[in-house]
Amino acid sequence: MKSNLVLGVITILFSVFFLVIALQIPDSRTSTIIGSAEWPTIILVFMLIMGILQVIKTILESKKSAIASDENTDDGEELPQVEGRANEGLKGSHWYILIAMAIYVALLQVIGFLFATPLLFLFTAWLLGMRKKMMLILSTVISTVIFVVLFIYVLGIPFPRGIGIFHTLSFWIY
Amino acid sequence: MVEGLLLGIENMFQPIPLLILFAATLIGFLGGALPGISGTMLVIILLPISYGLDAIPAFILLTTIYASSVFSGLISAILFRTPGTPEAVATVLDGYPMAQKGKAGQALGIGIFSSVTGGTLGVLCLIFLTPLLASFALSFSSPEYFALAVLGLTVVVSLSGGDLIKGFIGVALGLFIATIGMDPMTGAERFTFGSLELLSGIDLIPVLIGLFAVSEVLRKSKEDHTIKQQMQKFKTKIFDSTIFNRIKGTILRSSILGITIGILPGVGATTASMVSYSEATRWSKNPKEFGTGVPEGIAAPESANNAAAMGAMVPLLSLGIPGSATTAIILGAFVMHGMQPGPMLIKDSPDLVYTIFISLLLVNLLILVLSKPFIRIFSKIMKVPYKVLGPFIVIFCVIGTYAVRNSIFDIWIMLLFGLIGFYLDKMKFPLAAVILGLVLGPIAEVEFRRGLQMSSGDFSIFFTRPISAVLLGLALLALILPLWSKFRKKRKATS
Repeated sequence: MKSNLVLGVITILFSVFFLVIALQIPDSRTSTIIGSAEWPTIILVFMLIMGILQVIKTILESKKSAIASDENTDDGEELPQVEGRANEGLKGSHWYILIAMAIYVALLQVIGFLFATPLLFLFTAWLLGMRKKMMLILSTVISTVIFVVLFIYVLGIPFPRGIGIFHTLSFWIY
Repeated sequence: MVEGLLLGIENMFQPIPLLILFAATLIGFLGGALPGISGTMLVIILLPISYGLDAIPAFILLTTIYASSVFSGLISAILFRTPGTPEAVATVLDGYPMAQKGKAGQALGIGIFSSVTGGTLGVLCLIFLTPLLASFALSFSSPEYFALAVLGLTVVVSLSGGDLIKGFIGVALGLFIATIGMDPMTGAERFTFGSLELLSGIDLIPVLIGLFAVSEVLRKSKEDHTIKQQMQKFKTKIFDSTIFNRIKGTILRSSILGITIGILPGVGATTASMVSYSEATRWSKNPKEFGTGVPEGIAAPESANNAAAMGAMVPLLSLGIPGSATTAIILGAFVMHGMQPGPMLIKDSPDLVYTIFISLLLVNLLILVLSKPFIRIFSKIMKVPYKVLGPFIVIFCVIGTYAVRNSIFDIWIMLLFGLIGFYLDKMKFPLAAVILGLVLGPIAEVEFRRGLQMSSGDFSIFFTRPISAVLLGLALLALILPLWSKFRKKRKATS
């Protein structure tokens, strides 16, 4: 219930913010009947209306369920549980993976693909529950070899080489 | 068409395409059977590899994986009550109880047979309908394309999850993201905040990978999907004439239903399997037996999901409108290879389209041949834990995004949408709606503006042209129907 309300409010704020910006887009209606700003404006106004409806609906529903809270209205079909058990090996939350990926992207331009990728692999594998040192090192080395051979040698993707010494070192490999 | 098919066969029966077909079928089996990797995820992961291939092998790879992973989700659904892919969720309902009764081999056999039949019927429809629809669509001009886009957007809203408002917010978000960058008609900058990277717009692939793959890694990282049960001993029997006689009607009905749902834009095999399961219950003389392990309960979802997966390719190849999330990724791959799916595709690249058709036909044959040995060795490989898969998926996501246009900025976009997707999914928000909005946004806008230019600003052009009017009428119907059925349910409940 709360998340639905948050969704509605965010939708309203989002659409109002961009509506203000949309109104500042220079009108270039000289060449076309509908200018550059009209289409986004239509979408954002529509989004705003839906955001308001979402808030109204959530409030109405919460009032209704407060009145008839003991009534079970769920008539949906029963589906099996798809979610797995909680990962016991995982420490912390999804934020760690996301932050690790963000740091990786930032590092890509500094130390290059060749050195940043094993670090990300090592960290995510550890985070997801791989604790044996031998296993961690082995899988990191193997995976890096796979990535280098597949994406650099076979597919020729020009990954960032980093700067300074990392730039120089990367030429040893590709 | 016959010429095209012969051309397709000629292209297909070369060493490299055959090798790719064979390998892709097995990769699809593995990914589909392993809980934790869905078909969508698998296609995303293999996207960067497809960039490096020529168009024909690349699309054999992607479409084959797409088709075979839809099938193999049933293996872990039946044996371990853990659907390998979302498409196999409904298969658990009767598949697992049947396996529990000691009839795992029979359950798998029914699943394989239904999948192959559904899939083959789906491909045949795909082969016949695509050229027809494409040649019909050649007469479309701007108002019709606009109406078609509107129809696609309303159908995805009305069919995805039942919450119309959330669906519309999703579609609007996708449409809005599509407007970022340079206006395609006047060149004016929109919502770029002076950023050079945003000027060329937000690419589809980073958003797709973020919403569907990164968000899933974030979610799955908190769960343990490793299968710890032991596999019981069984022998898979694919064809059994008494069972065939019992389920042939169900398979036919579910396949037709699946193809129809697949063709509708925005909804794919997952919806099809669930709808088909509940329809099979309704048709059955003994609906109470469903859920206890009846053959119909496996045949219905499995024939429908494979048929729907093929059906979803029809609007993609004939109109350029993806029928599901995975076909949206395949659309992205077409664009990467410098092609725009649409009515002209089959005219411009008949060799490619017909080779895809032939490869999809062959996949179904391969499923029939390879599934039995695969299930036998699956017990040894199914224990790959997420701590090994997860890091690979993370790095494949990054590489797949980067390789589109060698842009670090795109990886940031991917991460942003990964986070957004993670929270939206928690709210049961229809992510496919965002993607459809993003894909159809540019089409809708450009054709809307061109249409108005044709009529010198008269909005009635969208309603006076017959095809456009019919399409818009259908769009309206797609919205009214769920509201109407809700209203009737409410009235029933109060009376």
